[in-house]
Amino acid sequence: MTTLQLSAPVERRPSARPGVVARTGLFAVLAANVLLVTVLFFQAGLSVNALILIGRLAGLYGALLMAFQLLLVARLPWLDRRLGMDRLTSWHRWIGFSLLWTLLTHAVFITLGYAQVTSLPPVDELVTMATTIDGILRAIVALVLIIVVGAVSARFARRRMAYETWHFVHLYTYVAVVLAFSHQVAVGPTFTASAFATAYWWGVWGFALGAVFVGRLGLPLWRNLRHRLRVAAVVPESGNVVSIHITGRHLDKLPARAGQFFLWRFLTKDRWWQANPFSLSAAPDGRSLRLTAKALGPGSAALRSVKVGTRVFAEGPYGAFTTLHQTRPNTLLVAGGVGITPVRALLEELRGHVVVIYRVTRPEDAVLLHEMRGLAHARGAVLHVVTGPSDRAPLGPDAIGRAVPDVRDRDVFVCGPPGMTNAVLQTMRDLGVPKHQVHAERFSLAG
Amino acid sequence: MKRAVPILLLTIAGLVPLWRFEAEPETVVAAPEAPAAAAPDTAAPDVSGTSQAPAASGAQTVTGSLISTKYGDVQVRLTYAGDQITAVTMVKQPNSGPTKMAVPVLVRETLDAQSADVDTVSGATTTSGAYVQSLQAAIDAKGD
Repeated sequence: MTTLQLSAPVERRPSARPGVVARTGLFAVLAANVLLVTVLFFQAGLSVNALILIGRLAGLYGALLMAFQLLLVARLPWLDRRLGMDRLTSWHRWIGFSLLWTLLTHAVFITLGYAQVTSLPPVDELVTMATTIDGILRAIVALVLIIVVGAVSARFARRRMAYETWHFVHLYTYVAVVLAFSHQVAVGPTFTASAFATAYWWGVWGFALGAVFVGRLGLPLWRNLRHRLRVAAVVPESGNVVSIHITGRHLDKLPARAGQFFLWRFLTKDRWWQANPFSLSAAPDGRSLRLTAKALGPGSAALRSVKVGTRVFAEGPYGAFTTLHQTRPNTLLVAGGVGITPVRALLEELRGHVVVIYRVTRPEDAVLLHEMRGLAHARGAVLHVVTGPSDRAPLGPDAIGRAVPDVRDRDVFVCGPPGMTNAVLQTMRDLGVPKHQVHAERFSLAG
Repeated sequence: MKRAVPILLLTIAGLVPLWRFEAEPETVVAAPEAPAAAAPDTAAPDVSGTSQAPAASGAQTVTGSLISTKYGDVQVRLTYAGDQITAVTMVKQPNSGPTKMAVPVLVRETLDAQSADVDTVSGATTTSGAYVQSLQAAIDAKGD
C-alpha cells in the first residue's frame, strides 16, 4: 500500500478549476440559447396583441428552461464530476420553480390575449382553444402535470413524502415534456417560422432528451451489463452500520474515484425498485468496491439481511467530492458520523499532508475507526476524534484554528449531516479559508 | 410499489385518448350580404375564383377559392370599384383567436397593397397562408 502511494505519479492539475469551467460552460450555453431564442422570436414577427406577445415569449423561455432542466439531471459524467449531483440538483430545484412560473405566465397571457382579440371571457376562450386548436389540450394537461410536480416538490409537501413516492410523481414531468413539445410543434409560430427555427428546436429537444437517455439509462445499463456486480460480503461495522463488499468483472475499467458514490439497487424480489445513495468507503482498487451504510431509512436498515451473491445494479459513479477539485498540496478532512465513508476513501488517495477530524456523538458511533487509525498511521496523517453532543464549539474557529494552524493553506473536504456541514462551512468562512478550497457534499438525494 | 401498477395503467388509459384527441376546427360562415350577387356562390366551392357580373353601379364582387386548413376553412370575397379593391369580406374563416387577431391585419394590408402581396401575421401562419391563396384566386378571377 505505502510503496504504491509513494511511486504513484503526481497528477497534473489543470490550470482552470474544473468546477468553474463546468459552471461557466453550462451558463454560457444557456445564455447563448436565450439570446438565440429571443432573436428567433423577433424574426417570427410581432403579434398585434401585447399580451399574446408576452405569453409567447414566456412559452419560448419555458421550453428552453425545460430542456435545460433535463440537462441538469441527465447525470452526464462530465458535469457530475465537476459540479456534483448535490449542486446540480439544487440548481434543478431552483430553476424548476422559475420554470413553473414561466409556464403559468405563458398560459395566462396567451389566454388573456386571445380573449381580448375574440372578446370572449378568458375561460370560454381557453375552452374554445382547447377544442378547436390542435395541441392546446395536450399543453393544458402538461401544465397541470407540472403544477402537480411543483406542488409535491414544495418543502412542506416533500418532507411528508417518501423519496420513492415523490420520485414516482416527478417522473410524470417526462410525460409533460413530451406533451409540451408536441404542443410546440403543433402551434408554435416561432417553431414554424423558418426551417432554421424548426431545426433548432428539434435540436434542443433532441439533445436534452438524448442526454437524459444516455446518462440515466444507456450508460448505467451498459456499465452494469459490463461489470455484473454482485455482493461478495456483508460486514457489520456497528449496531446500525454495515459494509457491503461488491465484486464484478473489469472493475479496473470502471472510472470510479475515492469520494464518489453510487445509487445502489440490490436486485432482490422486494427491493429492486429502491435505489439508495451510498459512498464508496474505500478507494476503488480495480477488483472490488465497498460501500458502508448506516440505517437511516427502512431501505438502509434491510441491507444487513442482503445475501452474498445478490446481483447489484449500481448507477454511478457520481459526485464531485474528489481529488479532482484539490487546489493545494495539503488537506483537512472533516467527517461527521457516517460521513466518514467518502473521507475514509479520500484519505487513501490524497497526497501531501492530511489532517482528519472525525466528529461523532458517542465513541461507539465512530465506525471504521480502526481502519482510519491504520490508514492515518501508514500515511503519516493526523487523526482527531471529537466526541460529545452536537455543539459547534469543537468545530468552531478556535478549535480548528488550534488543531490546524495552516488551515488557510489547505483544501478542506467536509462530509456529514447538514447541521454539522453548515457549522464547518461557517467556521471556514470565519477562518478566512478561500471558498474554492472548501468542498462539501450534501449527503441526500433530490427533493 | 404495489400502487404503482394501477396508477401507471390509469395514466396510459388517460394518455391514449388525450394523444388521439383531434381538435375540431370551427368555421364561421358569413351571412350573405347582397342576395342577388351571392346566390350563385352557394354552389359547391370552386378551386378557381368566381366573378360576379358587374351590377349596374359598377361595383363587382369576386369570390376566392375555398382553402381548407387544419384550423378550419378560409375563403375571401373582394369588392371592386373598377380595378380598385374597396372591401374584403371573409366568406369563411376559422373560429379561432389567432384568426380573429390576424384577419383585420390581413385585410388592411390587402387594401393597402391592392394585391396578394401580404405579409404573414405571426401566430396565424396557417390562416395567413390560406388567406393569401384565396385572395390570389379572387384577384386572378377578376382579371379574366
